[in-house]
Amino acid sequence: MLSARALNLQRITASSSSRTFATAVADAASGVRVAAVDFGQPTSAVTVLVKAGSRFQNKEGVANVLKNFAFKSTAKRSAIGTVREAELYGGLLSASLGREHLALTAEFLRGDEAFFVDVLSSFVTSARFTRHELEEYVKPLVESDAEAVASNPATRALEAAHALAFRSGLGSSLFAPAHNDINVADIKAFASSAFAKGNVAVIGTNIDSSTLNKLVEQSFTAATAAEGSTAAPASKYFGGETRLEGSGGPQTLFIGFGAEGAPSAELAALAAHLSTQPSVKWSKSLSPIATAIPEGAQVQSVYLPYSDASLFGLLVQAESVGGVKEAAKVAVEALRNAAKGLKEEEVKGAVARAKFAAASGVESREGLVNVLGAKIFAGSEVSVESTLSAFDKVNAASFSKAVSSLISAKPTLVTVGDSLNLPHTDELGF
Amino acid sequence: MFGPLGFSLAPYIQSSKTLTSWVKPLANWYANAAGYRQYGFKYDDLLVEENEPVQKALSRLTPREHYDRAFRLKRASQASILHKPLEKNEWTPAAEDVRYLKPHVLEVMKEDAERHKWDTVVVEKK
Amino acid sequence: MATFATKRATTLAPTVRTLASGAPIAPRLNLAARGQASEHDHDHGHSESSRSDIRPRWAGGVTFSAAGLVSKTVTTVHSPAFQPRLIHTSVANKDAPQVPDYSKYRTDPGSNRALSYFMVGSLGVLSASAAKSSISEFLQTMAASADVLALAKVEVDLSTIPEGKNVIIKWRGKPVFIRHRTQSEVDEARAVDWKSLRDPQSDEDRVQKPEWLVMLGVCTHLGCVPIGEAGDFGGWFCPCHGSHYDISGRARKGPAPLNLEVPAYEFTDGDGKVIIG
Repeated sequence: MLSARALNLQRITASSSSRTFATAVADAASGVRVAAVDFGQPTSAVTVLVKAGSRFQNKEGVANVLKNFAFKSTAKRSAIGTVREAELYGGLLSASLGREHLALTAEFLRGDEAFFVDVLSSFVTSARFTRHELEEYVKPLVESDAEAVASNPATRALEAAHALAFRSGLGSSLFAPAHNDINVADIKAFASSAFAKGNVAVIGTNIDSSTLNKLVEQSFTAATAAEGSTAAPASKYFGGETRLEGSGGPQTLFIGFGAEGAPSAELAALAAHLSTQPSVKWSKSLSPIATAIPEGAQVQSVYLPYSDASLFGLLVQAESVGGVKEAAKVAVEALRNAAKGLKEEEVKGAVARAKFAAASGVESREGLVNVLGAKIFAGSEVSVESTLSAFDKVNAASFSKAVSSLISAKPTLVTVGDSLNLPHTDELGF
Repeated sequence: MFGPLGFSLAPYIQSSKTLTSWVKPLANWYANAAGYRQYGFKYDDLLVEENEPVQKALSRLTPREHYDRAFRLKRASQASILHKPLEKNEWTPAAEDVRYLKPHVLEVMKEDAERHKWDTVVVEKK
Repeated sequence: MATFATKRATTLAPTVRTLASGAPIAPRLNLAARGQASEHDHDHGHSESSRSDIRPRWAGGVTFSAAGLVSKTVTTVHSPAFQPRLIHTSVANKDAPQVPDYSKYRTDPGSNRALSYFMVGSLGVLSASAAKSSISEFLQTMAASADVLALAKVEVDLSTIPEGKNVIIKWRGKPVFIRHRTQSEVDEARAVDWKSLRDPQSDEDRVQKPEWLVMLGVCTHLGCVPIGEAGDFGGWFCPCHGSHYDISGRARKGPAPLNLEVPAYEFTDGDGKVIIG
């Protein structure tokens, strides 16, 4: 029944030409992969995905500095020229850094593709990375990024969890350390290795794919000839415990586990099962955790899939240490119950919620780019149906198998706040 | 012409080989005779800095360049108090008398002009 | 970020904890905390406290989305939340609501307008005229008094002067010659070629009536009084330096440069009196 529904979907998409998925075209000259989707909306977006996430950085914080250097002066235009001209066109330029990809996005009205693809490509091919721009423009941004994190205990916990779980590679921080000595030479080195052939992909939404192909061919012919693609070693999961001093804000605890290999639908279903986010406003969700935690405490299920590993965990926050202790006990209990085995309809419900989350995530531009980007680099077929079809194979047995193997690994525990009194790993039963 | 670098025929002269070959010896003699090298200065230490573009350009020097500039000023101030130039071995050699600040000033002026251009641009709808 | 062009002075107490680079540590400082909205107007239009070191929320930040933890920087920002402009009408504000109601005592300002204007206008006229007269009286005291004015003119009765006779009158401290000339003397005066004289002046210009010659008896050379009926030209002769004047008082010989001066005079009472001055 599920597959029949999927077939129906495909027929609908084929008949109404408003939704087309283009298979990725590897542009032979520059090695840039291109994918375009057209929904017929009036604004378009082009995203250049580069494998320059924090995973691939050789020096701590360089990826963040490179992200903040986006759209500064290039051989063709100065920084102010880029920004002013983009504002005159009415476009929005932004740069996002994840652990695996750096996404440079331009959103604009249909018809302005030529200019914005040129802006994006000129940064990738001919950014100048001058010293004075680093000092005057970029370093304050990097510092404000770092400060924003330092004051947010949840983000600090997640960053520390990654460092414990994966050590180098995925464990590198997204943000630069507070007092760093990154100079333009470091950035230039990182950029030349990151902007190499095979590391760059261009994804367009609401743009005709032939137009995008043509523009990419024109702009990226002068792409870096450097062959070296940032090949990172496969991620390994380690785990550990760390306790950080809080800096104001709630007491925070993160208990997580890592799984090596490609992300599985079972873990997504687990995250949906434990998630305390209600679908109906002002109600407690159907999560086994939500009803049992004390008032004022929050538990979030965190599922972070990467290309060759994923991190699953529960983020517990409360005003007091006692609240955290109770909520953590409840959360770990629910996790163990999930490992022991759930009823068939509970699993179905979790799968349905996870599938909905995945499908609705694709509806936003960023979500779509993330999904397509992951596939484009892997070389697999660039479409959304494949993500959704993976959920159909989940049943109760595979679910409990996946969860029990997950929690049999060494846990990752991070506490932010009162480090003496917040629970330790053994107090949680691991 | 009234900018921080002042009026200069240098680009015109340097564009022609014959003119350069005539004017260069004269210019070298003048630079030596001006006397700033005898106080350990480079030419750009004497550039008038009490204006916005040059202040911005100064902020773009590396820390080492800043330190050296301050050191040359201090050494020359002492020599000026004593009313005597420095010893011959402390004079700036001609090869070292490089315009280290001029490229930064030119860049700042170019950026200011571009900003002014963008501030006063007239946009027409096609 | 080391810039030596601008010096920042910082004094740190020795008990402040510092990093190896020398930057002080403030471990519990929460820089993301936003201050309370203050009561006074914000000039720069920030809706919350304006911290220049914290990036505003619409310029990016850390998001935890389905894709994981993402740090985003927005380069060109669109203006934040749409702010609708509301039409605002203020209710008229009564400025003194506690004042009692005097509406019963108020008069209609239009009812007695004519009388009021008449009273005001007439008093205005009276006071203006009083002011004017007091000022003119004060000013009149500065004018010349009657005895001074009286001395400025002199009246001479001409009926007492026979023909062919000179009379000398004192006027303003100077002698004035009045001669009742005969007809032959008049003809003799008019027969002279006056254009060639030292001070050319015709007889007609010097007298109003031909038989009455009125002139100042002051020699134009150095101011002596000439003697009448003397001299070579049948007129006057100044004994001091020998200036001869003719029967019309014109200088003919001698050092005198000009003719004898003729004052302003007028005849009154028919031919009877002459007023000099």
